[in-house]
Amino acid sequence: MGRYAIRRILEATALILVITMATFALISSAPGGPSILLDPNMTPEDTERLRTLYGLDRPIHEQYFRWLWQVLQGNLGFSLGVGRPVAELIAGALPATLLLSGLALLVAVLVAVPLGIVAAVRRNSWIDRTLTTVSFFGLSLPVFWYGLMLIIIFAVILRWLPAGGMFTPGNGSPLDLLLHLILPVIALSTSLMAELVRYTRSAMIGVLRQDYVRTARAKGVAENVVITRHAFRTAMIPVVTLLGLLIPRLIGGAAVTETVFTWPGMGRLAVSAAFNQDFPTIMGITLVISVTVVLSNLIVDLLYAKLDPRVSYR
Amino acid sequence: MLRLAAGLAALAMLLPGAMPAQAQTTGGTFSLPINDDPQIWPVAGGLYNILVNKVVYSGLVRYDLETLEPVGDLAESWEVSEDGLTYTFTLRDNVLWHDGEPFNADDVVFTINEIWTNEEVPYYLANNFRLIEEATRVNDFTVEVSLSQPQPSLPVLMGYNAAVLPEHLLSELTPEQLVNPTEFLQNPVGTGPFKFVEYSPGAYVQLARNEDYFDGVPHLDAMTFRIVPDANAQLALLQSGEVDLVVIEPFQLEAIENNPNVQIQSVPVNRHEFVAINNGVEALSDVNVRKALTMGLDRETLLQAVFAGRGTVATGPFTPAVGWAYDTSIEPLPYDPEAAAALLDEAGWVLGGDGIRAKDGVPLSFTLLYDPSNPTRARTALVAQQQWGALGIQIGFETSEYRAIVERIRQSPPDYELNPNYLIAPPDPDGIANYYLSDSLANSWAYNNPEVDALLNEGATTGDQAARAEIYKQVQAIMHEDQPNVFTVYPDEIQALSAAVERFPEAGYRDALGWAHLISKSQ
Repeated sequence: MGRYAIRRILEATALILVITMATFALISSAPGGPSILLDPNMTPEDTERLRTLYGLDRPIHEQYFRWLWQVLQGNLGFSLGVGRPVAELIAGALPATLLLSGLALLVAVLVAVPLGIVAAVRRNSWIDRTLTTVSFFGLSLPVFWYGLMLIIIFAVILRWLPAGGMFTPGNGSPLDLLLHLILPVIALSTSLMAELVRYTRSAMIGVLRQDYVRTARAKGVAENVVITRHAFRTAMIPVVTLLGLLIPRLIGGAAVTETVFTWPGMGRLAVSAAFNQDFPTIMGITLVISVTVVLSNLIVDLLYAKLDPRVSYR
Repeated sequence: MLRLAAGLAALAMLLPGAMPAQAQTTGGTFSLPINDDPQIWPVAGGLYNILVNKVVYSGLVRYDLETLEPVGDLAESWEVSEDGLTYTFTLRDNVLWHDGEPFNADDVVFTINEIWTNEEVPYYLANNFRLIEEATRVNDFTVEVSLSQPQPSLPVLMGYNAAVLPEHLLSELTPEQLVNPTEFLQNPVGTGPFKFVEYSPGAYVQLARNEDYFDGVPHLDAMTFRIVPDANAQLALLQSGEVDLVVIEPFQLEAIENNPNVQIQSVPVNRHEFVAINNGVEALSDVNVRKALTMGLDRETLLQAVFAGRGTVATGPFTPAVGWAYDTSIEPLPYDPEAAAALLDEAGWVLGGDGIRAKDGVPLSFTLLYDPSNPTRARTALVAQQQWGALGIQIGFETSEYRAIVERIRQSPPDYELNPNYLIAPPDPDGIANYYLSDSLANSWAYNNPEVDALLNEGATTGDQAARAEIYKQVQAIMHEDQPNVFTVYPDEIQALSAAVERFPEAGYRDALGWAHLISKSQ
């Protein structure tokens, strides 16, 4: 197990290097440049001066190695947009994202897993059909539209909830935070829920057909015990895998939700960094997200091994 | 005595500002969205930085809300020597920095010598101050600025996002640290009407009233700049009462026009819209073709349809917002498709059987480059294609992201044929000169007219305003003949304000925020 883990970590490091290189090459090949260099009032002469000052006139590989050398020294550099250290921006944004995504994931799991089980057990009943239809809609809702609809209904028309942000400026109470969380959590958890309901349902259906479940039933084990103890545990294996895959997607992919609800998280930071072609910030976020993805894959693999003894470490 | 004079001066400045008769309310928080994280550091450009910086810092000069003429901000008054080479600024003596230190001539000398004109500090408007040789301290409240050439637009440029910074907090920093003064930015200190309280990256910047503000205590308790990147979310926040001002594009008007919680204020600004022409492209180097493009585009309809009628039809790059230099006698070329067709015939572009004009077998065909994410420009492109198409000009589209467009049109030679665009410039005709001087890198239209070059250079260095006005009127007449670009509209800035706002100074919000102490809100 130890050797397996070490090999996986080495592989992961190499993967992260490749990801950062590819990202760097991609950003550098995009047309334009950092938005601070494109102020319409700035003369082209001054733009050139700034380009030199920020080292943007150097060859790409040189810029990349300068960045890498900085990172190895624990310095993610300065944002070209905000003029703050990238590490500080990420440190500020990551907790906001973890809170929003974590809560959305929790809500989704708490709601979707039981519903998925019910749908599987009552296959083809009206409950199942309703859940299937609703989750189909949940999956198809574009968040930028759905989020705005939530805002228009609950913030603009009914005025029950704030339209965006994480806190009312100047107010940092837990209640205020909670009120600000409701709409984005609903927006973000809806599609997760839909996905999880369908996934849990099909995993459960697959397991309920297995011989050992039939055997347990034949032996006279109570139905709820069959479902919760025998079937559920096996069915959870693919669901945990899915959760593992969802975590990085949540951190990076909450971008739209965060932008619509002006949630000060990683997704919003990534979107604005991309718009501004703020190289250091984009690279910092890429690094953090790729490390998260690789780590969560590793954890999933290990968990998987624990849940299913048939998996062997090679 | 001096303080009394300053007080009277402040009062005098308030009076002509068209204040409503009712008493202004005191208190409340004014909140407005900005698209992205600001840098509360006026050395860096970018709209969201400028807005916050306008409120935290002061300049030597700001603009009169009605005439956009430069009036004193930190400077009480100024004088220019006869040869136009020395400006003497008399500073206010009642100004405190937000940390309580008194403001004086050292701050101005430091800002000019070590920031604006320091080659090693990347001040984004450095070009505006390229003629400054040195600032020297005469006494505590007098500063002399010497120039290498007369520059009558200097006071205007000093009011254009040129904030004065505290010498006592920054003088020890190296130029490299001045690029990103991390520690100072944790707690930026200015002399403006609102002081920095808190910055939550990605969320908001919170500012509180500066009780010691030299021009009177601000009406509001606080101002909040909320970081809201999405235009729809900004409107939703306005409608739910969480922000008080959103500057909107004309196409957004419909969504909020009849909302009782929103009031609309439209104000003229020094901005013009146009379809940029690459004069370097062979067919477009012919003045008849350019004129035909202008006369073949119905700018009045464009104004109504795309700009919701808020603005006026443009005649050139100088706008009526700078009244003294704008030639009102020039009428926009009429929309006249027949005359346009005649001009094209004259230029040798003859209508073929396929409905497309051609000369020597080459079709008259251009590519219109535009940013589809901006509906105002995209709609302009569509209207232009339709109307020019009717004249037998084949118009193809190429879409691109805005910054990529900026990079392409700024290349030398420019890499485009036609492009709907806009410019905002300081309220002095010299602010436009750089875009039309033939040897300037900012001349993205490859326009080249030696006569215009000579006049623009003359206008930039002539001291007398009446003489300058004459010079710029000549420029306008020549450009009217040349039609270097298809000038379309001087659009108003459309401000959507929450119903609670009693007064938001009637000027473009960049300039209005320089008078943020006058904003008031009902409770």
